[in-house]
Amino acid sequence: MANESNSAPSASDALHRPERGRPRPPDSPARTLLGNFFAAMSGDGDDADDQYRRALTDLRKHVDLVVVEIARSHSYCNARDYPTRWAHVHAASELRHPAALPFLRNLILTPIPPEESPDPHSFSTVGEETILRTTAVEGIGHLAHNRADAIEALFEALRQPSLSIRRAAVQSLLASPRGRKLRARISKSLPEEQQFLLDLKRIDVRDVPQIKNPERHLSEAGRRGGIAPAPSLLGDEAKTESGNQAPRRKE
Amino acid sequence: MATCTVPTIPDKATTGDSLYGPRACWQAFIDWAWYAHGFQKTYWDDGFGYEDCCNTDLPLARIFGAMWLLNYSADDYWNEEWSNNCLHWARRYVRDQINDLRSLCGDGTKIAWAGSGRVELYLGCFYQKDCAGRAETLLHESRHLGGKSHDANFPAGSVFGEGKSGADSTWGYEGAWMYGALYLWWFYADGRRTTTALRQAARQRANLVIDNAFATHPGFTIA
Repeated sequence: MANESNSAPSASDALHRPERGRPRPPDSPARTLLGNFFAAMSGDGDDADDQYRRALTDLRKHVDLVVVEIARSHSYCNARDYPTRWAHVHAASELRHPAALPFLRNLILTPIPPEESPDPHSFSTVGEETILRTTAVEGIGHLAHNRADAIEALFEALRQPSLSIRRAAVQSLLASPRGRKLRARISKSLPEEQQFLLDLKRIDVRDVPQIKNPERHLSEAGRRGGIAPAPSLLGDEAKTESGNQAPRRKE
Repeated sequence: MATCTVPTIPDKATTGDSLYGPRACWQAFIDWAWYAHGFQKTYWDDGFGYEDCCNTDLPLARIFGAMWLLNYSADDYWNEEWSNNCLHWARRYVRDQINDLRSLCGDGTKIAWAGSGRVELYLGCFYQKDCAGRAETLLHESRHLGGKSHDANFPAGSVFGEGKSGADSTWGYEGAWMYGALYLWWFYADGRRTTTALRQAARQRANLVIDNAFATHPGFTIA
């Protein structure tokens, strides 16, 4: 059983909440549409997918205004606020409209700032910036089905010094209607040591090697386990222990 | 004792906190999660959320939201047999492995540390990752508690630091990176009670890990 004692730790920390006013772009109809889309990205309930589709449809109806708003709003984001920045790139990608191409292309061609994390294994700002760009590449990939300028933007992406950006670009190019014909040109655009990107398999999770019997990967203490599963969503009474009582939710 | 400040809080709709936060604000779940993962009050008060455990501005509610995701994202979440897929058993693996869960300031970018049954989560975990990313962190660290250290250096061009230690040699090594990527992949492919956008974000993060965290690229990518 976890937490049998709650003896004094060697050191705990304190967290303060600053008073801050976040800069916001000016309100506009397009900003409202974008805000609705962001809210729908986290929608709840049985109609969440319908909410998301409706919000996306509304974005697409006003695509020219929305693209400008995405770029403006993105520029207001804290550079380290990667989830919010990703939401902007995701919105631009989901528009699946040529008007979004300049924003997406510009992001891909913007050099990734140097790593800011002292321990990138734990958290990598280069990694987060890369995710923004691979999302943008895939957004351009949607346009590459019928637009030559999108194909060329993907080839520009191949020149970026990032394995993941190149991987996403290769996948998008190969998935385009001209993919097979483009293979030789893609190959010429890749350094020798990254030619393997042409042969990566796009597969379903059910087709990758899984973990057979993960129980054998438990520590000795973990094997003793015995902790009950989470309560069912219908609600069960949970056990509590004295001395380390769980916090109470505010009524 | 260190003192730190809540950093910029990302839009909660995009991180999933506006979805999972209210769901996790359920006393039966809070009670269970608290004991199942060995939360230590001393490490979750003083501003980390113990006094306001449903406030998703604060670390405690943000990890409760991630735990809700971890525990209820399989369609038949109660079927957590080891023979099932990772989306089902990850919650069991995490609660069996972690018996002491603490929050600390860290350096602003550090995510987590694991050792001797204990997992420390830092501000980077709460404020730089979305709910699925935090769930992945719990599983990644749990795998370390299961006795598997990283065994290789990051490959050329890796975003995690080319040539530095901390990579897993291969997918088949079944290390912490594989565990995390596999979970995110399943969440993308078959996650329930979630949204399209959160699943897409998980897919992007899983592909980043597949591309960059293995000394030898696994040779596949997420369709």
